[in-house]
Amino acid sequence: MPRDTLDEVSDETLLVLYANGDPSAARVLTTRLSPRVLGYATRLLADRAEAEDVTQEAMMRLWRIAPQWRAGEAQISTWLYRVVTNLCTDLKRARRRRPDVALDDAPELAGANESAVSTLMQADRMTALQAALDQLPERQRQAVVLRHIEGLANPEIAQIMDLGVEAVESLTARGKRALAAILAGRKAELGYEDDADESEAVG
Amino acid sequence: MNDDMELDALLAQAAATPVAPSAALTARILADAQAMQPRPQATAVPSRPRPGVLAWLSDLAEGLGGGRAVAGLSLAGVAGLFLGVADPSALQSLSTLIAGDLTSVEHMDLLPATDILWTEN
Repeated sequence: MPRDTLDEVSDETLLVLYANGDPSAARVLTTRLSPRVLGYATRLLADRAEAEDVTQEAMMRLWRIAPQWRAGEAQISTWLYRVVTNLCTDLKRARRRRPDVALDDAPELAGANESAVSTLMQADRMTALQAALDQLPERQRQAVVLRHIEGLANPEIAQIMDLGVEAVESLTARGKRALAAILAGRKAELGYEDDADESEAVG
Repeated sequence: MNDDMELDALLAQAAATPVAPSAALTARILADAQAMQPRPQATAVPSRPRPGVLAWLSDLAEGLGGGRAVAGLSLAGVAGLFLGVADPSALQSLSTLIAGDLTSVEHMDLLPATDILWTEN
């Protein structure tokens, strides 16, 4: 099927086409899904190389499950977010289980916090936000990223995180409060105080 | 601007900033996809179609009971052809060889001992 036609086809139909041997379906699915998968993994792991590996693995699992995909059971994007969440959790557990690596990384990680501060002094707001996200507990970070950056609805997040909707709401609220608290003392570094001064001056 | 609004603005900015996969990552993903793509199911068609006459002969042999039956039929056919075409003197020699030197058979009593059954007193 021509790619122009495929651009308007649903993810699920594309996966069926892929399973039936259509050579263009995988390219369209990759273009559509891999930026979201990579973005989510990057924000959970704060490590681009690891996030790329997770993205490749998640997409590989999608290709593998394509022939057995049961239509209408779940959205492909929801399924992928869930796979990425689990892969990132496993990766972080593996990091904690490797004492040698952890010791080797310790100065670097400590430096990362310091560099997060120094980065805040010179970096843009996105870097500051990522540094703040890194300080959240894992489940809060997942919930905040899925809700406020990936823009998913709470029921979908509940499916991804295997939680009830109320638990998701609670995690998101607590995560957001924690983020606000982390960032509160850094308004000047983020440039908000300048904005406020400017608006006061204009006013 | 309060803290919540600042945070919302920051998160919205993050949401509007997609993380673009590198060309190398896209190539890796597509290579996996190609390697793992299911092939169309093969049907039970022979890989090399046989010529028409050979296929017909093969089907005929299977219908007649297989290769051994065909060999037996062929031998019978060759024997029949020999009997039909061969010189009769050769056939006479063959019968002499089998039945001995019988020049004539005028009467043959197949049940010689049954006369006694039909004789009264």
